[in-house]
Amino acid sequence: MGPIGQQIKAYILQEFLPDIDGDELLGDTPLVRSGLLDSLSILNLRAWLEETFDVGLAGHDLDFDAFGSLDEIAALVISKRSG
Amino acid sequence: MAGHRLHHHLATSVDRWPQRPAVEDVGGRQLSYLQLHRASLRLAAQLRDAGVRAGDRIGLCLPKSLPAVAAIYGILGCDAAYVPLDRTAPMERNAHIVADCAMAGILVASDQVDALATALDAQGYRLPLWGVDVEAASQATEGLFAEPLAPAREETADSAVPADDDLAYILYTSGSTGGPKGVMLSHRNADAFLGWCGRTFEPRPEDRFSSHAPLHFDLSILDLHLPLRHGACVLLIDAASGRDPARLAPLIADRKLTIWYSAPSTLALLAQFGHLERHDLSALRLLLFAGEVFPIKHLRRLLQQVPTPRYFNLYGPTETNVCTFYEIPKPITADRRQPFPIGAPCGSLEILLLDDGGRVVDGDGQGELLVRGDTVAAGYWNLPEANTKAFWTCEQGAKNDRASAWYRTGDWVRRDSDGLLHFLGRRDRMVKRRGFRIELDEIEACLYRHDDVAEVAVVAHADDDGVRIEAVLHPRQGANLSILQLRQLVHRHLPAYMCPDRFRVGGPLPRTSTGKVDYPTLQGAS
Repeated sequence: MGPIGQQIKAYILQEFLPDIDGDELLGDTPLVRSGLLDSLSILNLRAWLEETFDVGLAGHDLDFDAFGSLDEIAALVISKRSG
Repeated sequence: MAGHRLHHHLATSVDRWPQRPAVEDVGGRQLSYLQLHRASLRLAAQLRDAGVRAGDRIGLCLPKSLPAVAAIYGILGCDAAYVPLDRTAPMERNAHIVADCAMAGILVASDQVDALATALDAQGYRLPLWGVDVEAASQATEGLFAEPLAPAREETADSAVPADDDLAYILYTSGSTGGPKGVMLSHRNADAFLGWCGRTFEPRPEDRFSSHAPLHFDLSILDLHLPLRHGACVLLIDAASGRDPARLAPLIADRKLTIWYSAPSTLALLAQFGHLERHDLSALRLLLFAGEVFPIKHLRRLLQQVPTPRYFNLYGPTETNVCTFYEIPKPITADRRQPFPIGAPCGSLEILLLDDGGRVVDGDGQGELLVRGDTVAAGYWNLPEANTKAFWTCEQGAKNDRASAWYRTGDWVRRDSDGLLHFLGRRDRMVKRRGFRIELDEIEACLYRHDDVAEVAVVAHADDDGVRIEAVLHPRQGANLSILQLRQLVHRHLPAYMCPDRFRVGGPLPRTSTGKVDYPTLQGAS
């Protein structure tokens, strides 16, 4: 996982999943599909990503198309920044 | 002359407004009153040919869509009752509901036939599944349900004994014994409720309603059936749009919605994430919310952003429909902290407060709220014990006479000197989140499925943003509990809104002197 992925992971652990062991949260662990993040968490995460990385993420389905896993979120942020 | 049945009212509306749009989806597709009515008649005829009888229960496992609304009226047109399933909940839970109310058949979206069939096989309950290609059916308009039903599985239902044919629908809510329980609502209940709504909110054919709640949630009764009695149009908001304020706000503006109804949590998200100031929401004339307490700070912000409509707080468990209401006075002062009242009883409903000792409270005072009247459900499907507990009557020996019995809401309320009711809390271990009822015992029952869990207690904490649920666990000796796995376990067996926010692993649970789990101590220890 690259630095952006790590940064996102740290934020998710701190804000939404303070009780889980960070080592268990892998780049491809499903976040929404397995019940780790709910829709309110995703809204907060999206707002944080937009502000932190200065990217526009509205229009991406909150559940699946971009927020499936840490790897997918990081890839989306990277593609938006370079795009 | 209209009868009191939901589909009779649709028939009356068709006579008056055949060409007006009745239902619209987010994609802009519409059914006129005539198209909706004809589709429902075609489906009813097909269902009857397939053996559906008056009093049967028919499941509905479809996304909210034009064909789903036609299907509801088609089922009702057979004098059968519809039972909406939660498509996003684990199928195992849905299969339990199917067997519990002994359905005679299910209309199911094609893409979920296999998952539902597998869960039903595991449950050991056999019945016909009729697949519906929702996307194709949404395009069909004139020809909706003209094609023969697609029997994904042709079987005879195991034990579908017809019930009272006035039963209109059954809504399942979280149950304290570890599984969901079905609230039986009759046409008479719905008719009394919708009649009150009509007199109070005066819908007009020009009105455009939102339908935000999923079909298995009781808010859907108002937003589907009320507009269709008054010639208005209802916009069906799909689940993906419904949870995203960035999509909802433009939808309300662009489709010129005039009446919005949802749980407060959705409105709170709109106020926080919807950028409402960028959108013209001036068409809105009524903003209705129900299902939970609306945190004042979010309500105040919403009112500042959307000042035009009248705001109403509607209160009532699924068992009573809405039973009290209160119009929010504007503006909300900056120093107000306490939630608004749940208000006064709707129409001719009677209410009663019972104190801790079971005595009736007169005048100002606190007590458990009991409700009686036309909108109150007859009881739970096949749960005689729950029915006995949920209904109260002051006349000895008349306990089974539902007509004169009072429904015990389990809500503790205060009546002020103006006669207005204020919600104070619950008598039991039920909480509400995003408008959904959650029995904490049901979450505990789920967590006990984990082999390494020795003891578990689930508690709820209320804060400014609503309710947070915490699971406190004590592992078996030598076991190392993975919180990630526990979260995944809950997600596999329960709807998403029931997943605890927090898990805490520790030593044996505190116990009272009688050996019961000491919940008050756990509550304070977080």
